[in-house]
Amino acid sequence: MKLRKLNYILHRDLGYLFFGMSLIYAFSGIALNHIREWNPNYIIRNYTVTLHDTVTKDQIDKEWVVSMLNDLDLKNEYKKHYFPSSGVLKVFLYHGNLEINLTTCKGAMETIKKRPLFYQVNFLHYNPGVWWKWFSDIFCVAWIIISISGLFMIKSGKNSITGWKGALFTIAGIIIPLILFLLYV
Amino acid sequence: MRGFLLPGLLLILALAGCQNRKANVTPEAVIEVTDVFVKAPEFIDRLVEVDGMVVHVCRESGKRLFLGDEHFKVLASNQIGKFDVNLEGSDIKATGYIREEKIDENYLDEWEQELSTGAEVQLKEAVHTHEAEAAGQDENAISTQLSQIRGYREQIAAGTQGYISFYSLEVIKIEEK
Repeated sequence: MKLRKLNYILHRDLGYLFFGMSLIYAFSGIALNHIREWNPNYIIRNYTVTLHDTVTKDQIDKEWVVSMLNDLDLKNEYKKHYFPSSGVLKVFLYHGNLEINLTTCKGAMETIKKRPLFYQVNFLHYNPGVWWKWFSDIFCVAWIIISISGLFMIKSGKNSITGWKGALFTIAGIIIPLILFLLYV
Repeated sequence: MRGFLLPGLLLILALAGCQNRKANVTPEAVIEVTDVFVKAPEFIDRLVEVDGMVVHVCRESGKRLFLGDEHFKVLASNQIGKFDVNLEGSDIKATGYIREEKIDENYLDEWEQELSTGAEVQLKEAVHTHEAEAAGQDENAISTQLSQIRGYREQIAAGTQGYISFYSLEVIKIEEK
């Protein structure tokens, strides 16, 4: 098989095969790149909660907690409750948690939902297991092949690697990260 | 060769999908989280099961969770890369290796030196106890970390070994009760 034909086939087939993986790492990369601005995995909302009547630890059982959650429009969210200290009630919800100071009757509620798409791609990006790690290593090698083979897809003319446009874009793509590296190192 | 490429990759992907989170291993001991800090020194780098309720899962990385009122730290590993926040409130059996980190004056000096530059320094994993976060503080804030360092120096001074130990579990298997 001619080298050019092999180059073309590799670029095409590996490109098809790893299209999905490319999207996974691209979306996840964007999400994790902005980790200081947002939580890429969960949508977290915080609320304040106030009890109408004072209550002591001895008066609280599961029924009481479920009733309180119903008042908060959190029916069927009860998972468990416990007392981290004698004056604090903590309730675990299926989608969050609630912590109330029994002395002040004030508390905070946190609702947590998985961020659609991003939770799933980030889960994969974090290497959920040994086999995934090997598969993503293969993906990275494939991307090296896709990148190098891409340089030689066009045989001649200004858009080829030996043409002014192809050469310019390739060199720019190397110099820009170098400059950024030197700026930040 | 091309003919084997796709089936081979699909096979690897299938194996990755089927990879069993429940590794087939037998722990040397089963420890309730209420006893873990007493028994941990006997089982350093050994495989144990620790049972307890998950009180917190780290929201940002998902790579650590804490068990019980003791806030015993469980860390993700190659076998379990991340914890779902929905584990909070669940009673679990966590199987893994007990790890010990020894913090001495040299460690604290280096840590303080990093903070003195004013640069943003993430809280080190070895001393990440969820204490500050549970108290509503910014655990990465310089002031919080300096306060932690002061506390650890006092603990070292009060002891006889010249260091304090932090124990955690590097988990390989989790089972909800």
